[in-house]
Amino acid sequence: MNRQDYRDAFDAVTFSEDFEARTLRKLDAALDPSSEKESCVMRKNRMKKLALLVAAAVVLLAAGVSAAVLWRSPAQVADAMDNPTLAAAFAGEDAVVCNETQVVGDYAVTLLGTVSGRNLSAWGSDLAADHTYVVTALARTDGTPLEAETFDAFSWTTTPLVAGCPVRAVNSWTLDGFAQCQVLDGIAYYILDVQNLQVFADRTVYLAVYQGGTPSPSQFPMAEDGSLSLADPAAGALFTLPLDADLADPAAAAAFLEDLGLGET
Amino acid sequence: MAAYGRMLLRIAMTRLSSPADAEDVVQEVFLQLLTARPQFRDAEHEKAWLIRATIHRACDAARSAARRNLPLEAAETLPGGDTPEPLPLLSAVQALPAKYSAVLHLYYYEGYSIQEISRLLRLPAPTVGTRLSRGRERLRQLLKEDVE
Repeated sequence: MNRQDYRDAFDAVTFSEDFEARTLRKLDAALDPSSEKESCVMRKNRMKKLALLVAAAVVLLAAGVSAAVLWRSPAQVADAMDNPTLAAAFAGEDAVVCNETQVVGDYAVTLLGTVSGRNLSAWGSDLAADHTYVVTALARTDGTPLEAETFDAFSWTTTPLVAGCPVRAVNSWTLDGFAQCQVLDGIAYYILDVQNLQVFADRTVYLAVYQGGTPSPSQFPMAEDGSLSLADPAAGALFTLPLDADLADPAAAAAFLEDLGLGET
Repeated sequence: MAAYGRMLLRIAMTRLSSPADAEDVVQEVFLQLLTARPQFRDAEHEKAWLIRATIHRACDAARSAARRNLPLEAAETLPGGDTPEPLPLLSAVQALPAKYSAVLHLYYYEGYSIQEISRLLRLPAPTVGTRLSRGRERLRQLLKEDVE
């Protein structure tokens, strides 16, 4: 095989003639607010029991009771998303279980746990095997279950942010982050897969969860000491990720920032 | 879209046997680009993001297809299915692990150098070189012929 054979093989694949037109229509529709999907049409009698359970759990959480009473564990979430390798990593001793909940409007956002390391996932990450995985859960505070068919999973952003680094420069997009979402029993679970965050562990590394696109400095102002906060605490959740400072790699972090053109931060 | 659409479709085809699935993946990537509004330094930065996003999404889509427990052979013979019989070379590329097929494709089809692939995929250049070499060897075994 030579380069021309290779090209011929791929050039022989035929795609739809209207692919570009269809895609442009889809992008136009996404930009047009009037074409947004109908809001949830709830099936009234469905999952009433679960709704009561979720509402009860939110009350319990407000009283400081662990989310583990209701939410699935990170390992169970990974298993449900057909990733037994990651499930095993979350069940291992290097995983950190958090179960910390913050309320964002009508939603309870729970940071369930995180794990970092090499080759922890069976899929998607073999381009760069050293990753951090974070599992979060999103549920309505009134206990109304989310519907898999109508819930717009990716209207929510889950992104790491790093103290002292501009939020526009160091976030899920620049860290090659990908989030998977699955609604299970009326709760939306997310697995965020990003480059290994341990390299930044000598700084505070946050996990921000909010509705919208890339993070902006007006959303997440930086204090003089580099710490980040939410400008409007009601507009999102901001957790601190429990990373092991001993595993920080300042040289790798500096190289990453250098690659972004940030230099010493 | 006009600049990168075809390139991304071909990249998606390194993981997926169906052109329709590749189109879905690339649509998703453009939609993500539109809704996520990432900030890019320049056109090269944007292209690198699109390539990585397409590879990741295509890997996920391939995994989902595998989860549906439909062997490729069965999928190709489904009544009414219009998926053309893949060329042996295409099938061989799709059978490689993504870390090899991505590097091989960017090198053989898109004509990028090892240094350029290193920047696009954020991998050390020696890693790209190793993957190119091992990918070629695996492809050669699958094709039972020499790979230049």
